[in-house]
Amino acid sequence: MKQAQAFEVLVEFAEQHNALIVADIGSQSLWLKHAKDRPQNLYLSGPMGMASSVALGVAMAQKDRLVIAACGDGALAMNLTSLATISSVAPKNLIVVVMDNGVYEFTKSLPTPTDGMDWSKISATHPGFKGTSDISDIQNITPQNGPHFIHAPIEPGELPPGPGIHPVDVHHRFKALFV
Amino acid sequence: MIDDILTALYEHNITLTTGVPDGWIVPLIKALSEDERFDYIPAAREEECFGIAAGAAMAGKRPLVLIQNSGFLNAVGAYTTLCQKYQTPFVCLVAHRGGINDSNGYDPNKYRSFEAITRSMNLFVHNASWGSLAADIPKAMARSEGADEPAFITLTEGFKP
Repeated sequence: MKQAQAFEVLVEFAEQHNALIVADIGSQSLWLKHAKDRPQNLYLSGPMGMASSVALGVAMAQKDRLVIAACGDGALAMNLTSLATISSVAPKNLIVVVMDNGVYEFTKSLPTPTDGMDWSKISATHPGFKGTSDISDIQNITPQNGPHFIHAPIEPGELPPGPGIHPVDVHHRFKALFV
Repeated sequence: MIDDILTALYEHNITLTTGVPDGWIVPLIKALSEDERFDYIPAAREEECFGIAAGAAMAGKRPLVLIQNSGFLNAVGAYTTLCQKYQTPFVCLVAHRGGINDSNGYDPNKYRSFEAITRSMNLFVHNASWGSLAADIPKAMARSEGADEPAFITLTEGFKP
């Protein structure tokens, strides 16, 4: 599966459940915007690896909304401790997705240090997670019954189309949903 | 005194909190954790705290972060690329170790570096006392929202019941 397709699947699921999506810097934010630009998308264009933590904050702030963290494998590798924190808090309305292509797509496709890592074991080693799924099984996930972890194996490939949206505009557009 | 702080936080809708513990602020963290009016998210690292707070702020909450000064040093990158870049308002309460009230030999460098870095970054840092926190945290939150930037409050001693 290409990352573009993975985000189409993710956006379709998000729209079915009126979900919010927090996407990591680079590939994830730009491919998400390419799949469908929605006010419910929170694009991160500065900090690498923070999508899972930002999504946890959003999920705790909006407990009635499904929240999806769309993480790159290189990005999540920089913030693996966030999985322990999420497991500990275990918000029912949070799904963490790792887009796993094994490379830093934006950094000349150098390999990430996650080579050989078994993402399918996340819920076994982080017991707050209720389950780990492949993205092809996303429709079997029951929202508000999480947290869930989803592994999305994707092909490395072309850089995503740009440009993004200014961070402050992203912030204000997202926050306006809750006023 | 801790009860007064919690009452003030609740009255000002500051109910989503996160942190990494420092001995000086443990009584406040324990009180937040045990009070059902509040969510306290025990993060593994201070970078996560800034991510959680920024996310909560962008989702309409008024977050409070509780960390040690060395934790801020750990998380400067996340702070600059997320909290500054996205202009997310929240209050960060810092156990400012290594000052006049701290005889630990391993703390002075934390104090020096926190002072130097926050000053060079031109951050808003207010030095408070335990007795003033109930008033200062809500004021710092209002200041943070007005200025579109986080506000830091430092404590230079531990809680004394």
